[in-house]
Amino acid sequence: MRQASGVALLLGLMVLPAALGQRSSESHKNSSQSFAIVSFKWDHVKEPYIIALWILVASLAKIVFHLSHKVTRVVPESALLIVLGVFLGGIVLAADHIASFSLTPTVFFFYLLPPIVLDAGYFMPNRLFFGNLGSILLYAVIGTIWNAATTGLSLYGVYLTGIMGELQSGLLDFLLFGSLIAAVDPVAVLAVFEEVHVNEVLFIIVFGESLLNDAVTVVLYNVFDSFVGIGAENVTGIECLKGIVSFFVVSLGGTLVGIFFAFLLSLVSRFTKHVRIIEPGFVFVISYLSYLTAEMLSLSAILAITFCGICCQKYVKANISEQSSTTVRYTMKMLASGAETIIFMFLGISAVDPKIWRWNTAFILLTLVFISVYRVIGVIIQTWILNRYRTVQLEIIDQVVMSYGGLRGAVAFALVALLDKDKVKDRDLFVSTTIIVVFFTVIFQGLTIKPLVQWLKVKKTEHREPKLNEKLHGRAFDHILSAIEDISGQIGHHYLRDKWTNFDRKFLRKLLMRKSAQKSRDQILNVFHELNLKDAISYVAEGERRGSLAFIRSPSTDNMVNVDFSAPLPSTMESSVSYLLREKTGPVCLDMQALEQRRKSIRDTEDSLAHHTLQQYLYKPRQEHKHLYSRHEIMHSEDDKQDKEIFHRTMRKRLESFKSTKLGINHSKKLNKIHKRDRGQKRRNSSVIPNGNIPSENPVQDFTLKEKDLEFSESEENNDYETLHLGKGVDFLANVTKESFADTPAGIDNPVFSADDDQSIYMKFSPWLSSEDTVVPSQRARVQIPCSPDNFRRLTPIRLSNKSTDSFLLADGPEERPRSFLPESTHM
Amino acid sequence: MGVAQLCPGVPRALPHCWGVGQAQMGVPRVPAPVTSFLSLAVTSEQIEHLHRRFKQLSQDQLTIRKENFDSIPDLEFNPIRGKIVHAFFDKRNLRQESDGLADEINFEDFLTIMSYFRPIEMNMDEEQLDRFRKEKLKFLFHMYDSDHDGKITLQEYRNVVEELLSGNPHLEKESARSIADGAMMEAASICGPDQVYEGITFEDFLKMWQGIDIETKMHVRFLNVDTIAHCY
Repeated sequence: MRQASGVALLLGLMVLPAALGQRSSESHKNSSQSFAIVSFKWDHVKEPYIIALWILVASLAKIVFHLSHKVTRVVPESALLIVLGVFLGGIVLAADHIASFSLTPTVFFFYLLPPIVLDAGYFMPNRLFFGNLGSILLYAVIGTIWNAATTGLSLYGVYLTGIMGELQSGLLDFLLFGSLIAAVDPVAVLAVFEEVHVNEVLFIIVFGESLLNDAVTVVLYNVFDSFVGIGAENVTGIECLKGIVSFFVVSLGGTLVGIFFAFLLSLVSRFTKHVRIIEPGFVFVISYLSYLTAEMLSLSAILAITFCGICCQKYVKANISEQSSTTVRYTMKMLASGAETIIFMFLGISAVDPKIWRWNTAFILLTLVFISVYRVIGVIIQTWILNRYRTVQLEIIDQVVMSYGGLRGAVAFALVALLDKDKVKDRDLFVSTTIIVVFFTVIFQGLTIKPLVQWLKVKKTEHREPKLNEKLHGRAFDHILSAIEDISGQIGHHYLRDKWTNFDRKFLRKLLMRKSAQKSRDQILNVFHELNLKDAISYVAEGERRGSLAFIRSPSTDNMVNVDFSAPLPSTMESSVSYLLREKTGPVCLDMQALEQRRKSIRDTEDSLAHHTLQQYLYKPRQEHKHLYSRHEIMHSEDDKQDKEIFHRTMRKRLESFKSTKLGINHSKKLNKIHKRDRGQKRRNSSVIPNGNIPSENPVQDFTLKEKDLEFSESEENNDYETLHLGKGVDFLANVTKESFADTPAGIDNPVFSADDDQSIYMKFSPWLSSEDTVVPSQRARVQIPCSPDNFRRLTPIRLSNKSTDSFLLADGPEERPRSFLPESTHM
Repeated sequence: MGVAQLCPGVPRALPHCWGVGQAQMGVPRVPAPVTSFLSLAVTSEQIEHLHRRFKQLSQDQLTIRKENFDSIPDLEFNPIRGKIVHAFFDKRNLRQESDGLADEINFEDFLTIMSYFRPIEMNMDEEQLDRFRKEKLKFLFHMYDSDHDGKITLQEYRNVVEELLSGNPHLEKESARSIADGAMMEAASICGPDQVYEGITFEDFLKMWQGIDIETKMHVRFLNVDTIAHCY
């Protein structure tokens, strides 16, 4: 239902840009001479308006697609967008009788392609990329040349047999077509493979190939284009040689331009500390400049911006602030994804133009056959060569996926659209064929690659939490391997990487990284930081969920609340109690207000206490946001020293709690002491606060509080204590211990934070058994303490410390009692 | 050329291969188990190359001592070089029954260590792969377990992490320790929460590595293998 209406809305909107474009000419005429208060200036805004509308339409289409997971799980988004584009193009055509919109090469190469490639480069997994660089280069260079040559030559060969009928093309035209249809397209590959989740080695090889073969495509295209221009009879050996030289110039030149701009960008980002707001802008502007510069020098622009992204990412990410980094990440993803959407939609729209279509069944079919077959052959031959040198072998299954993943896309279309009709007589045929090939690969192969991957059981990527141990061992491996290479006296992969790391550390980092960033920039430390951060976030989230941060409290009280009693809790009872509390009238009402007041203030102190905890033991976000409007400032300077201190303290804390269980260190003494101190504190508090006796004035009130309260009034507690058998207490204790133990294995998802130990320790030394002056919770309280952070064990070690200093104990005072109110506050 | 194909041939081929060396330095008798292990591991060209390297390091002696490793300039920057060199002399890695440290190692031992880093062969079955994996992990484990008690204690772990991070001058020891502690906790949580935890045993170590592809991480492909002398 919703989908249907969404589609309807979409359709309505779709027609809008087209209709508006059509009406543009008429609106101009009714402008009058006299001054108009409000005038309709369509022509004034026409261009950007239509662009904006198209973007809106494409984005809305995305929303609609994702309304149904069934569809998007089976059909790749790119295919859906193309179909939508064809559909829209049809509407426009029907309304307008001319195809007014198409994907122009200028728009594509200048505005749509750069964001996608930059995104790919900036988020490139560098290690993986450079680890497989050899294979990627082989596939990208040799593979593309192979594809281009074989496809072109085979088509020409078939043409000579006469099956295709009369064409006005020579060998060079066929080679030109072969070169533009040969290249695997990064946009299409990314769009499809992102949904398939094959293993990372396979992904990086296919994707890297599609990125790097751009240089080859551009060179081949330019070479053959100019050859066609000067005519086949004028092509000499020198021209061919020039072509080969130009390949190296174009590719290496593009790469160098990229590296140069990456250097510049890293250097600039080192000094942006005081202009945080425009910091993200530098990333985009300088990368884009690298693209344009390479284009200007007729070098490979894609290579330039790719390498700009790859090389700068490390330094830029270290230099810019956390917010800027988030901004960069999101903006980049948004631009790339938007550009991708528009590209595919416009590919569809461009197809609907009767003028460009020229059908030649033999040519089109044979092209499809040849590109598929030669891709397979090429992959097999190259993989065979590569496997002799690769450490990780590419298996047959990988080869199938690689062959099948050779998607053609918008680059080919843009290149073919660039062809000059006067020079290339069969341009229309080439365009139609390219469109068919693109549609076939994106839609058909895109649709079938997922089932294929599943059917072949291709190794997939598993997303894992970053683990400290893994990182540490990985580091150890790196060093061991480079040492082994050193010892065996051979220059291998690890040798090179080791040398590069040293060079990087000694020179590049010093030059390109901020001083503070140099310090904290260690991968292992990063993982640690990440884990800590995640912890803190869940801490806060849990607090929000509970409506209070009160679950963060001193361990002495924790031991009592830390058990999950929620299961046996009768919810009807609970609701009736809260109902009673709320609906009370008469004199009690006043009391209730007073109580409310008190509770509020107490909650405030609780919260402040919690904040204090957070501040002390958790990483702070690197900058805090202040709600003051300023165009230029949103940050505070960070305090590195404090961060480090927090880091150490957290760690020490954790280790303590860790030791106590894992290493079996007995804490009982300390615990007891704390307990006593705590109890004393509590006593003092309860005697100081007169409110404690209020409830007994009213029977109903009394009832509710007795039910709910833990240690609300001294007298009540004593009563309870007297009526309570010791046996029951022990019983309770046993339950508690059992439960906490039973819970333990289940609660672990992030092992670093799973030390749920103190809790169980405290259980062992339950207060009413270990010291004589303890306070026993009322009977009901023992079964029903709903606010039990037991399931929140990940964070347990970061509680307030056992050996907390005076500030804590002070804060502890008023905070102790109100826990009794919490159930009410959290359950309402 | 994968030796696996000529698996039976290689052990016999070796003496021929070292014809010269045999005369010069009396090639050690290769015990049977080691040979079969090696035959899977290193190609004859690589052995040739490693042999030359060995002579270079040992200055034409029969054995290498620890000091010989000091002559490798590139090794100097390796933060855990001590541990790595140590591993070469660790008798546990040398497949000798005894424990402790060797003073010097001969070429055969050298090869044994090197063979820990051989890549996977395509035609290995599950069981072989599993053993292979264990071999490699054992090597790493021995490197961490410096007091040979079969457990990586917290202190040992800390030492390793400190050494690993010593490359970064901005990180203090304190941070390294914190990280080691965190990692140890992580390890403890993987290996069962309710036992008293004294250190990571090899079984726990294996558990930690479950699901992580180490085969790709712990092997060396010698890129510029000299192919001068074929000896078969």
